Amino acid sequence: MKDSEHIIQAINRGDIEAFKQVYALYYSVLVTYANSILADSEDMGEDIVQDVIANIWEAKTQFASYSSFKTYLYNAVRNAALNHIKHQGAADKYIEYLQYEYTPFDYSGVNVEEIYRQLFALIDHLPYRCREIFLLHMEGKRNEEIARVLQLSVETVKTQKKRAMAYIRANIDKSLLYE
Amino acid sequence: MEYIETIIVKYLTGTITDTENDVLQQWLSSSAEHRKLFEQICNDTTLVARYRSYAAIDEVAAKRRFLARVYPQKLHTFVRRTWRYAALLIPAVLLSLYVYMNREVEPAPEFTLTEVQPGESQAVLKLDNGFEMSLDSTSKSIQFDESVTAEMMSGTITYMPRATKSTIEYNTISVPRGGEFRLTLSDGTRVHLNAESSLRFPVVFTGGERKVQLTGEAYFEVVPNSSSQFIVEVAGTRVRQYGTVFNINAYDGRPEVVLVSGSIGVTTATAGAEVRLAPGQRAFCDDKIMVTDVDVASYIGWTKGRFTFDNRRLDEIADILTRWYDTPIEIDDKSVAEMRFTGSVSRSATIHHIMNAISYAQGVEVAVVGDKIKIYK
Repeated sequence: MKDSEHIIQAINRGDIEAFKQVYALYYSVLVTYANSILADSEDMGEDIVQDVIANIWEAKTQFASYSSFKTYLYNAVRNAALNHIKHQGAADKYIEYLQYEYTPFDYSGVNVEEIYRQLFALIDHLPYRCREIFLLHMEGKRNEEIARVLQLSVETVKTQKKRAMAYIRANIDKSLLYE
Repeated sequence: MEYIETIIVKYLTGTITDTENDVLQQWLSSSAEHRKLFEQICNDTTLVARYRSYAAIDEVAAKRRFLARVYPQKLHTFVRRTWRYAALLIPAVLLSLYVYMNREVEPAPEFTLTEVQPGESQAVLKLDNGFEMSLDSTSKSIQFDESVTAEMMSGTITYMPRATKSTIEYNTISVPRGGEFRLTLSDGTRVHLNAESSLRFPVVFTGGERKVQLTGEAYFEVVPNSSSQFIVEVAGTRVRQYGTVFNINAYDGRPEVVLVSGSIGVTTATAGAEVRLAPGQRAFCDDKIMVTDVDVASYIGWTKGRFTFDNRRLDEIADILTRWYDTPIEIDDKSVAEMRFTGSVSRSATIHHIMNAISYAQGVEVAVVGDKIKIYK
């Protein structure tokens, strides 16, 4: 059995360790997702995600597979965020627009939030200097520019970029589950 | 079969293999919607900003909140245990009741915690002739004379000597509350100045000594030079380096020197002989110099964009946060001031993240009262 199915079984059993793992893996990205929907009332994102996860625990929600668990998380957070906006008296048209705009599963069947999650978890675990260099690289900065901004040699920038990519290669398949 | 999400991540990070690229291309050519979505992701200019807000979220504090919620029985033991001590508190309760009855109406909060922005790169450069220039994150070049120029870019200033000089000219860089600044001295030594700190240094180093004067806190990466010692003078203490990385914190006038790597010697006016530090040691310079082994990470976390507190008192933490967020924090209750907090939080987030972390971990309340933040039971 795959690790991902182990964690689902543990969640179904109500194993607290599995829930701790959910925090490490999903909490931050779900809050970012909620906040992107909430826009103005940003400090609600954390509360919404807390409620969603605690509700799984309290209601002893069961999941058939890892992917149904993921779908549930993103959908539940999205719906809770939309509800929050509705309660604040937003116009129906606006809610409709948000519902369309923030479907976690794109019409193409791709979960964009899941891309962010994997990408961010990988970046987050790079050593500090390596990470700053890689972020500038992702912003489209050239090696020379990065070297100037961070006061490093171009050689150092190149080595650190290589290190970042080697780390990502080594860990990306694990990042599906573990941080 | 790998998920298409993971393959896209590999593409974005430049770690995709040829076989995976084939899968991606096939997926792209199978539908126009796939291509549209893929282009959107690749051209997303907010990706890095999104990562930054992701990184600012404290999932460890959130996990603790969750555990407190689903394990309320732990709280019960706490309440039971506390109840025993509650009797002792009755006089205090009566007193606070009295204070409460006679209180002035509390001023309304003038801001919310999420509005308190972190510090940013800013400083003031003062020349010998009294001329002042403000430094920020913009790029510019400063010409002093033919012997030296300084280049400014994204919160750093770099001194580049062009020729040697006979007269010594000094510059002072002062960082206000809510600020930090990095500089590279003419010998290549790098200094990261924390909030409410200043450094006075010769524009170009000459002679057998490289001497600078510090107030507040700074992190040094000194370029070794056997013919010219690097000396930091701070609050009556001298730190002499032998090719080295170290942090000095002298906010309260008693320098705390932590050695990261290399070797340094510390002397004070009263202590007499020089005390040599090994990496991982801290010298606390009061009347005497006390040396202890420490976890270096918690002393230099700020240079990596984090607050790292290892069993620090809340009143000390409040001072540190006040300097960075430029917002007064008040703790009236002595027992709260003496609580100890351990944790690490990003310095680039608004103040409510660290306040939440402290509030959940210590079970204290945090509120904005008038123009200040109060921490209380």
